[in-house]
Formats: sequence, structure tokens, C-alpha cells
Amino acid sequence: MNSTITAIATPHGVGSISIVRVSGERAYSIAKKMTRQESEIAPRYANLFNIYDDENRIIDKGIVIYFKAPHSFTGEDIVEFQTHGGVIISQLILKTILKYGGRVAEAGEFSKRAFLNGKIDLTEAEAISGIIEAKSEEATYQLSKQLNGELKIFVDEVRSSLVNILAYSEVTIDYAEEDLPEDITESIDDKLEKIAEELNRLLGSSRRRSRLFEGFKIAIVGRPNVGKSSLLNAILNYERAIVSDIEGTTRDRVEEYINIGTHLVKIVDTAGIRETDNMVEQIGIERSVSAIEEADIIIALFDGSEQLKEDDKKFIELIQRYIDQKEILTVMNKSDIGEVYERVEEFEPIRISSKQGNIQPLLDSLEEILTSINTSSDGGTVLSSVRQINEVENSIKAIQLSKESLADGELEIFSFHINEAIERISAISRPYHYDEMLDEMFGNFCLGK
Amino acid sequence: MKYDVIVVGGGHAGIEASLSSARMGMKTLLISMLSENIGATSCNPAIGGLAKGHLVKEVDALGGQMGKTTDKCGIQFRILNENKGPAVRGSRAQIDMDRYAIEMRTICLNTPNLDIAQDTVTEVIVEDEVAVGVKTELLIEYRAKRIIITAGTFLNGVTHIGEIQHKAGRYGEFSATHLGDNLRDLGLNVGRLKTGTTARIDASSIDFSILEQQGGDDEPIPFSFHTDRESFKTTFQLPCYVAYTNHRTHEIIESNFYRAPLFTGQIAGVGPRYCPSIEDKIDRFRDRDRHHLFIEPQTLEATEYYINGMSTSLPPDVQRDMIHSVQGLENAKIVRYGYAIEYDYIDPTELKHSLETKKIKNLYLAGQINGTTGYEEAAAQGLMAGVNATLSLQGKEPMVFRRDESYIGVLIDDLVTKGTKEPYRMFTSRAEYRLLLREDNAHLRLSKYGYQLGLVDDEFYNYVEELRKSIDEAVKELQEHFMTPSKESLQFLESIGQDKIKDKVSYLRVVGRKNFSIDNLETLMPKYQLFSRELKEQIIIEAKYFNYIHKQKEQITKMEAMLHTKIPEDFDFRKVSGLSSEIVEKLEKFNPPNLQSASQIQGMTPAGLDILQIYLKIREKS
Repeated sequence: MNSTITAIATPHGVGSISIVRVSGERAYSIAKKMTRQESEIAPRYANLFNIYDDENRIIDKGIVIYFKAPHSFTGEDIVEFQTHGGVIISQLILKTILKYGGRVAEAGEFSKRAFLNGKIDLTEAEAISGIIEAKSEEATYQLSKQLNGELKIFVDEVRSSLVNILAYSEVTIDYAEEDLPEDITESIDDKLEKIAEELNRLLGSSRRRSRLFEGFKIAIVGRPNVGKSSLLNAILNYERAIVSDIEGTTRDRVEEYINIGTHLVKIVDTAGIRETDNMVEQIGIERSVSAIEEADIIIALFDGSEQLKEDDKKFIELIQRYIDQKEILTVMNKSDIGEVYERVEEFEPIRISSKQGNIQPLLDSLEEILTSINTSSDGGTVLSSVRQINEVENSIKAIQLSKESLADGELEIFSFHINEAIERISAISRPYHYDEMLDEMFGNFCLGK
Repeated sequence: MKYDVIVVGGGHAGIEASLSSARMGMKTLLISMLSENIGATSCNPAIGGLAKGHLVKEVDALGGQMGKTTDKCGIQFRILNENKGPAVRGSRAQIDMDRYAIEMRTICLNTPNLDIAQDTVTEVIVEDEVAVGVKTELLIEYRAKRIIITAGTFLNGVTHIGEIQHKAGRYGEFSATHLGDNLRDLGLNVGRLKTGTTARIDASSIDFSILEQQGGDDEPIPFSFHTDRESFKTTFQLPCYVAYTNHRTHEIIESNFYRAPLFTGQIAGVGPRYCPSIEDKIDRFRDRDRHHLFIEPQTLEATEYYINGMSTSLPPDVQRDMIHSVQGLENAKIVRYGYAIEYDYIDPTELKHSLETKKIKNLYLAGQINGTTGYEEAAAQGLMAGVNATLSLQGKEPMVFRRDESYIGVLIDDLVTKGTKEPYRMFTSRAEYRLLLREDNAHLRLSKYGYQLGLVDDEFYNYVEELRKSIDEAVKELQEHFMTPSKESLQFLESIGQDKIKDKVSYLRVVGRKNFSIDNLETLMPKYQLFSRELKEQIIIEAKYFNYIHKQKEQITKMEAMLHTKIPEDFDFRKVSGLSSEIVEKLEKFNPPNLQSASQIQGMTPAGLDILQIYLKIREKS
């Protein structure tokens, strides 16, 4: 029999309420124990109950909803505990459920059960697991679009173009003696170019959009001793003061999730880089480069109390390379000490003092940028899971390789790559069957003796 | 009279079935309606072609007959797709159709353990769902432990030329009506297909002077791995000719659509899309201003020519008019008119991979009766039916080739797991592992099995194994040698007309480049000069496809993992939720023995497979 699984359904530490969900045979009996209810809990009603731990202490007063099998997301008995936000309450509820015989769900296990019980199909399962992870409203909107099948239509179009191209190639191979139009190769190359372009566009907007799900990445870079660490601390402290007290966030992590306005962001902490002794600048720069590569937004930090140094200039050079690809904020720290900073062309610095906690101008700019990224993205279809992105990347790779073999006139290898491209694309829509190619072939060519 | 194996039908499937069974030591009887028509080529006088050549080579590598007889009776040999990669080249031969049949009959009559009887089987004797013998028109009852039916187009065959219809299995020959009805009565799922053939014309009435001539290859290469390649080079060859239909031809045909059995509803069977009749081509592709026709000699005497490309069942006067409208054929005298034939076929999903029927034990079906077309497809199935009937008599497991081992494996797997709604023809594109399954390595892939079966002799087996070893060694050696972009290597590459290299690469990569020739190989590795031509060719081909084959082998490993996930016979597919009811029905029908077979079922999705796998695991655990 299926074990009873549980998980905190709301994002970690974000939001004013949190939901803990239990699914499986024991869900209902656990709920009764935890709410001290003698009578039956009516399915699908929102009940306001006190929720107790196993030592009879009240954890919180919250909404408890019972979804009776099979009319639930997983098809099993489900109980949802909706409580006040914050990590501690949901952790306590989870612990109590575990004591009463539940176990922590593995990643995607709710969806898997829903899938096994015929509640959802695979694309839905993927999209829903995306919803669970989605961390902002925009992302949720995006995913609901996928359920409506816009992505499916786009992918189907690409897929059938590829099948059509495969048919051209196969007919040339398997009907060596037929009178076939001669310009086939050129027209195939053009078509492939177009498909690759479209897929690349999809991939590009998906990558940008994937930040909506994962959180935008911000990197703080600059030469040693400009105050990267203290800026990071200032931002984190500021966050803590206004958001919530998240237990378990440790200071030595390289990445930190924080909210700026309504946006979830991930700060890549290059402050952690210690330029000790004579472990030359090179390493520092290399680390910064990789942080910049990963980031969507770069905070280029300078020390406003000093003259621009050689190292600063190096950083400016470095950052200028990314001026077209990333959002870059030039920030002048230590504004409390005084300004001897030389104005750098192209950059209009934001003046802050992390030491005095005066970082509001930076936060305002960040929020402005985040809002504009969110709203400026094209409203088109995007991929929503890492798997989908991988498949499309591989498909594009296969198309590129196929173009090479086409140029070489090696059709059997060309077909090999196109088959691969079709398989990859089909993996995010519907399985490919050989007969589709045959239909295409006989539909377009007069063949046979 | 008692036999181990009875084969019903002496076509290309029947010949391979009875020869393999007899050669493996079984007391075998071949029953043919007309013994002089054993090995008849009812359609065009040619063997092989793309993908079909692969099948012939595989049959040959396993110890079958078709390739050898083709070499003996061929009157023109060509490699198709010569300018494309080795994986998609196909051998094709024009044959002297009369000599071919005589040769096959002679071989059958001279094969120990093989008897031939001219008679017509009317019924398969089945006792307790086990086939035990056959009854014939001459009221003879033959008993046998295994029955193989290779009835071709004869089951309830009906020929059509215009409105004229005959019950016939081939023009002028009886149709097998009793056997057709009998198989239906035995509970086998029977369908109806259609195929057709073209008119044949008198050579003396053709104006060859205005037709394009198409000769054979300058240095013909034999079909059979057993035929000596050197002495074969001097084989005498005849040309074919190319002619074209024109607007006038199309007008004649179109204005007579109302008399075409294909369009009037007279023919109900489904015809092959890849080999349509000329009326079908004109109907479906109205924008084409011409279709080409190949005028092929039927025998060495070249007295009669086959008009390949003009398959038709139009009435005789229309056939005459349309042929006369073709340049070069204005005065052509028609000897035999083209006709269509409708016939019963058994839904091949009635079969196991061994080609034994699921419903009736010890009854095997092979060839066109299973919904295929083509001499080669028939021969391949015939061979496997003969082999598997024998193996089962010997108490051994059937020989079932995987899709990554041979075209034969692809052919049979496609048939028994997917069935077919139109006559099934082999294409190279049907083989997922096409780069691996080539004509040139058929012996390297399959001769070990032929040897196991006793159909391939020691000498040939040793030769193949030696060749395999040498190829492996050379490939390894080339992998271990590297070329850097030094001045010397760049000069070398330039001298052999190859592009420069930028980085250090293995010799194998260099050899695998496009247009790398045997001469180049000998320059790069002077000691290879001593190697046989075949060995050098194989080294270059292996190098060319090395990376792709490597990738395909990874896929095969995955497939093997699925092969090893067995599905218990009593597994209840209805309990697997999340599968569509359509898929559940198919799974119940085909009862796939493992996950790999299940994956082949049409409509089966990767998600469905995942669920199935999860359920199999759950069951395994409990």
C-alpha cells in the first residue's frame, strides 16, 4: 500500500500563509488527531481548527481542508493545513505529521501519484511541478498558459516541419531512381535555418523567463576592499528587518535568496572570495567573471573615497564587455567618507554607504530594473522546465549538425541528426512514429514503379 | 505420408523455408500448385534494390539461397546510391526470370531431405489447436510436425484487367480458394490487399534507338558473399532502357478513369502507396508532366521487355493506347497485359516473432501472406520460418533478430507488433540502426548465426571471423595513432586532397573523413597495402560511421535494459491506471514479453512506458 506523504507546499519562508499537505491512507486519521476532532471532518470544507502537536501543545490556529479520495489532486485522501506564514509553524506541523506516521515526500512525488492515479498527464505534471516551484505571480501566469497548449502548438509545428524535411531526405535515399525535384537540398537548408532560428528564439525567451521561476541572479563585483561583503550584509540585514526571520539561513553560503519588492532574487556572493596573501588578482577576476556570466544583474561596486585604481579600471573593462547582455548598476560605496571618486564615462553611479545602512537608492534601482525585466519580456510562448529546455537545446544542436552533413551531401548522416532532432522535440510533445514520415513521403512525392 | 516440415507454396518464401528446413536436417515437403513455377518472378524481373538488397545479403549471410541464384541468373548488376554513403547503398540485379525459376527448381529437387509435390493444399489439419498436417485437392493427406504456409497472392486471389475478372493466384493460375477460406475458418484475422503488374512487350517492336540506355556497373559486384568477386567482374550484362510518359499518355489514362477497376469500386483491396499503378499516379499527382518508365529485359534472350513504372489494371485497349503514346513504344506489341490482383492476407499481428501463429501451434506463415510485398521480403521471412520451425522441432528457442541486428529483425518486428494495412515494403529508413546495418557487413553481423544453425560452412565462418578480427585491430590501431597539425601532416593532408586539421586528431577521425579513399589509407598506413580490398573498405566505413555507431550502441544498451524488463504473462494491464484504454487493448492483444516490445506498440508513449515500468517494479517488489 502507498505510504502517507507530506510536504510544505508553499515556498520556503515566502508569503504570509503556509500550507502543509498530507496525502495517503493515513492523511485523514492524522488530521483528526492533530485537530482533536471526535466527529467526522466533512470533505471539501474549510474548517477553522486549532492544530496541536503530539504533546498537546497548540501549534497554530488555521484552516484545515479534507479532500476525500479520489476527488483530490493525487487521487488519494489529502488534508491541507493552512497556517500563518513563516518557517517555524510549518516545520512544527510537518514534524508532528512525521511522528504520526507520515513521511516526507520526495521531489515530485505528489505529482507522480496524481499521474499514476490518472489525475494528470505528463505535460500537466511537469507544469504543475513548475507551479509549485514558481515563485512569482508572473511565473504562475506563464505556466497556466502552457496548460492551455500554446507551447504544444508551437512545438507541433516545428515537429511537423522536421518530419517533412526527414521525408525529403528519406525519399532521396530510398528512391534513388525517382525523378525528384533537384533543388531539394537548398530548400531543406533554408527551412532548417528557419526552424533553428525559431527554436533559438524560444530558448532565449525561455532562459530569460526561467529567472521568473528560479529568481533573478544578482552579482556584486568589484576589486578587493571596495566593501562587497559589507554591502551584502547590509542588503541581507535590510531584508531580514522587513521580510521575515528565516531560520537556518547561514551567513557563509555563497548564494542567498531575498525579496526585493515583490521580486525574488538570488544574490551571488562574490564577497566570499578572499583575496588572501599573494593569491593574485587573477583568481579574483576569474571568480568575478563566472559570477557575472551567471548573473542577470550586476552591481559593480567602487570605493568612492579613493581615487580610481588600476584594478578598478580592469573591472570597468571587464564589465563593459557585458554592457549589452546584462543589467549593470554602478554603485559607489563609502559615500559617507567623502567623494574623491572620478566620474567614469558610461556609468552613472548610485551613491550608497553600506556601513551606515544607507542602501535605499540601490534597492530602489534594483526594484525598478526587476519590474522592467518582468514586464518587458515578450509575451510569447516559453518553455517551463529544465527538461524542456534541455530537449530544445539538443534539438538545435542536432539541427546544426544536420546542416553540416547536408552541406557535405551525406544524407544518411543528415537523416541521423534530423531523427535525433525530431526525437528531442517529440519528447516535449508527443511520441514520433515512423509512419508519420511515410505519410509525409507518399503525400508529397509520386513514387514507385 | 509423414514429414517433419511441410511448406505450402514454392515462391521466394517457400523456397527459402523448405531449403533451410531440409538443410538443417528436417524431412521436408514442398507442395507447389505448379512445380514449373517454383521461383517464378510474377512481377518485375529484378532482385534487390534499396533496403531489399540488404535483405538479400542478410539471407545470404545466414546461408539462404536467393543471393547465390541471383548471381547465377543475373543479366545486369548495379549498386544503387553509389554516390551516397555505404549504409544506404543497395544492390540490384536484373535477372533472367526463366533461368532463375529453373535454377531454383533444380536446387530444390537436388537438395537432400527435400521432396516436392505438385498439388494444391485445401486445408490445414488442426487438432486441439495444433496444426498436424494438410489435405490436398488430390485428396492426399500429409502429416507433419510443422506447417509453413507461403501462399503469396494465391489465397482467394482475383485478377483484374478492366472489367474482366478471374479467380487466379497469378494470371492464368488457379486461386487457392479452399485454403483461403480454411484459414479464415481457423479463426485467423484475414484482410484484403491489392497489388499489380505491368504489361510486357515484344522486343522486336520497340524502337530502342530513341530510348536512353542504362547499363550495369562497369565492375559488377555479386550479391552473395560466397560468389568470387574477382571472376564476377566479367559477367555478361544487358542494358535496360528509360522511357517517359507524356501529356498524351496522361490524357488517355485520365479519360479512361471511369473504366479503371481501381476507381470504379471493382477493387476493394488496399494497394501499396509506394508502388502505385499508373492510373493512381496520374490521379494523385496531376501536376507532373511526365513519369519515367524502365524498360527491362526479362531473359537473356531479351525477346520480351517489362515496362517498369506502368503497373495497371486498365482495360486492354487503354493499355495499348497509353503504351503507344510513349516515345519509342509507338508500335509496341503487347505480349502480356498488365493486371491487378486482390488477395487475402493474414493480419501479421496474429504471429509471434518466430512467425508461428499465436492461435494455432506449429503453424507458421511467411511471405506475402503476411501482408508484405517483394521477393526479398518474402525470402527473408521464408528463411526465418524454416529456421524457426526446425529449431522448435529440435526443442530450441526460436531465432529472433533484434532491430539493431538486421533488417530481417526490423521487418518481422514491424509486422508482428504493428501489423500492416497496406502491402509492407522494406525501406532503409525503417531501420533505426541503419548506419550499423549495412549490406557490406551483413556477413559480419549474421554469419555466426548461420553457422550456429548449420547453414553456413566452417570455411566461410572462419573467413568472416578473421575479417572481423582484422577490422577491430585496425580500428583500434587507428584510434591509438594521432595526427597533430604539424607541417608534415598538413602537407600529407594536402597531398591527398583533404582539408587541414586544426587540432590533434586520431587517425581514425582522419580516415573517417568524407571521400577518404583506399589509396589514401594505404598512404597513411603503408602496411595496410597488404590487406584485402574488403578489409580496407571495411576499415574506412567503420571509421566513417564510428561516432554515430557509438551513439547508436548506447541507445541499444538502453534498449537492452528494457528488453530485460520482462512482463509476466499474467500481468493485468487493466490495473495500470494512466494508460489509455486503446493502449490497454493493444497490450492485451500483443501481450509483449518485455518492455522493449511494449515500446514498439503504436500509440505507446514514453509516459505510458514509464507508468508500465513503475507498475512492473511494484509487482516485482510485492
